[in-house]
Amino acid sequence: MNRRATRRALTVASAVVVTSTLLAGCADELPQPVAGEAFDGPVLTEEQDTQVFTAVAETVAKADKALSGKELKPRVTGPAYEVRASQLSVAKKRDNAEFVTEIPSESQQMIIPTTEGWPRTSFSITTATEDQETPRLVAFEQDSARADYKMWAWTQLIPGQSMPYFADSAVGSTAVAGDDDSLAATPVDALAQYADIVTLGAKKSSFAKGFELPDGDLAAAVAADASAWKEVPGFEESGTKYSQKYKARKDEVRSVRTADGGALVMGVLDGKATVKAEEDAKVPALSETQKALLGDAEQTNVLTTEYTDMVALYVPAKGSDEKIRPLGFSHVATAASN
Amino acid sequence: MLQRILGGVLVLLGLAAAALGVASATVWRDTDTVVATATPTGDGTLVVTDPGVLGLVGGDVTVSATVPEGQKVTLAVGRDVDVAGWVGNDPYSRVTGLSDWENLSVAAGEPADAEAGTNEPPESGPDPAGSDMWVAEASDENSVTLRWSDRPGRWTLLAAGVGEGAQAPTLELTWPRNVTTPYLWPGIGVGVVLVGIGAVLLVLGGRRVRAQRADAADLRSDGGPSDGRHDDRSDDERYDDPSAGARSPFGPVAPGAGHDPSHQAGATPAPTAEEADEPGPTREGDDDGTARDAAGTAEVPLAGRLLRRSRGSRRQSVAETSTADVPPTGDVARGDDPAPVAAPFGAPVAGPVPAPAAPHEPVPAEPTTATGALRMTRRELRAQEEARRASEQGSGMTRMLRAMTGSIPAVRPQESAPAGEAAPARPDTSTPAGRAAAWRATWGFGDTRTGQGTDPNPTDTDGENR
Repeated sequence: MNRRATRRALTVASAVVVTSTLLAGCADELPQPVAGEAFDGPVLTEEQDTQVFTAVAETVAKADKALSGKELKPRVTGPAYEVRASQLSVAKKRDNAEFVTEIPSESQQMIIPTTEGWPRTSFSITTATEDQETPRLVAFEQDSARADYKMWAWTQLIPGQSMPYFADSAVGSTAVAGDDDSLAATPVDALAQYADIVTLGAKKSSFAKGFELPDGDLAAAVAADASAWKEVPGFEESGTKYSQKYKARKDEVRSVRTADGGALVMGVLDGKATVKAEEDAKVPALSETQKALLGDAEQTNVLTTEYTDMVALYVPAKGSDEKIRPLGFSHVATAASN
Repeated sequence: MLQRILGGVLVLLGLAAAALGVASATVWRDTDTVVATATPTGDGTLVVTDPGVLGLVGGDVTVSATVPEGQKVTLAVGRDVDVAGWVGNDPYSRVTGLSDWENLSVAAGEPADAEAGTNEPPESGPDPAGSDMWVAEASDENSVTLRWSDRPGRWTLLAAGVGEGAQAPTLELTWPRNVTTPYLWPGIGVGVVLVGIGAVLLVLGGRRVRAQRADAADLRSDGGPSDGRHDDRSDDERYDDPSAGARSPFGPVAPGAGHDPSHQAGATPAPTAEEADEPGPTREGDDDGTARDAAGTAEVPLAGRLLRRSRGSRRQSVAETSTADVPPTGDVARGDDPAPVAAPFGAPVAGPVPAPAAPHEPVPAEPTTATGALRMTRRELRAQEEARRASEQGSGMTRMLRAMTGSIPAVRPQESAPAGEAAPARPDTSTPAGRAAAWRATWGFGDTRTGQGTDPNPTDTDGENR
């Protein structure tokens, strides 16, 4: 009968509904983990980099307040630590922190690396200081995976120098090895050449033609040091000799690619300036820093001042029309001896 | 009947379907969360998830890690390279996915630098907390919870038991799950449709049955082939109450037609004539009864009994009414109207019929008075008796059943009013003498004894008649 058939169909239909409802709960397949796209961007987000910067600035501020180099340890390393610790000890001896480099705690540009391994170096350009000094270019380094980012170096930008363009912080910039040969000069070589220029002066150095030297760079500052000595009354007459030697550290080079294929290179030049007067003469410390560094040591006819200079260069890509340009430097006497 | 059964089944199925639909969205509904735990294996204090594990079930995951009492635990999320770099060559447990819906599969992690091999487990569990690389981290004693919303990239979780004698933490990942209820509305929809169809079938079936009952009731109570209560009444008047004929302009004709002496005489027993008079109802009613009986339901015979009963009572009232009206008919008897002539022929026939019924039938309802006996077939009398018994046995029950079957409106108006009116005028028909008196009264034979004095308007009737 027709109705009976209908009823049977309905029974079957409802049975299907019931069964599928009951099975629905158990039938889901286990999902398998799907690894997303591999990371190829910056190792830090801008936010994280800002946190790094803030952490460093806090640590530095704390050390500055205590005038204690040890306080820097958690967040400052390398040449930055050397210089800063020295500055702080000088400031402590002098009870005056006027020569301690001010490092603004705000960043205006972040250059974040894409390095997968360690160490990783990020750079940051700070804002101008409160008393309108030029911004600082700061390098942060994460030495190992379990280490924090620490301030590795800072330089004060040379007034009037334009910074090269960098990849956006969301894209990330590639680190450049110290011996990268895609550049006009490898970072290590560029630093060595610059050291030569600083030592000899632009006129005497054979490398000067490869550089575009601004007025206020490290070479000029070092020359000014020499001039200062030479201007001391009786310097020439007494037969006092002034000599200086600057040398780039080969293993302390940090470079990052710029947008135009060049590189920003930061490195350290160890400088030594020696003033040697005739025997029995006594060479006084010329600067307050030298005085503090010398301390109570008795004056002799020799005064050696050591500098730890952090420098930043722009090295163009190979074949570029541009020349190597100093971007910034920090010229700080870190030791003195008689 | 089949329709009603099918309707009921459909309604039940519909309710069941709807209930299942609702149940699938409530009691059988999957939990809103997937909770999976990972128990670390092997050495080390670190647990690392593979990329993609955090977003395995849903984008948002709540991770909680537990270590034994008194220890510190840290959770951190970072890029896979960063986590791998942080772990370095320390031994660790690797969470590779779900082994089932409640457990994560865990394997021993391979060292980052395969040549160097895995370090000895450190004496003190290193703390990943505070690294610049993590995008999310949490650290606490004993247990810690971290929420993570998945984002593009290979993000991995690092969990570490921290400090002296640390153990790798037990991980619990909880994902909210978007649970769908695909059977809720289809179930309810199917249910509603089934209930609707079932209800329609029920109503139709019910109506058909009621219609059958109503037909039967009409036909039986009419006592004639024609429908309507007017006919019912006129039938009775025609046969039972010759006085009606006196009132009606057709009066002389109607009784004559109804009680054609030659016809009745020819068809010796009145019942035969009676059956000839109402062939439709009798047969139909019987057919219906048989059909219903074949269907095997108890209701219908009961209802039929009720209907018969009501019919019987109606007839009784009619009979009584006519009995009350008897005196005027005495005029008819005086005249040469054929009706009275017919009576003698009918009387002997009717006489024996009510007699056996009398013992069983007490006072009420003696339709057999006179004409009632003439018109009634044996079948009808049987039905009448049945109905009476039914009414005597359980009037409360039958009333209830009547209410349930919805037959009240069809029955009540005829049942109550005339019966009430007729009651006082009821003659004593329990004795043969009484019955005979009633019969005589009905047909005007009691005229000489009862006299015309009881007739309220003999002259009017006579005048109209003649």
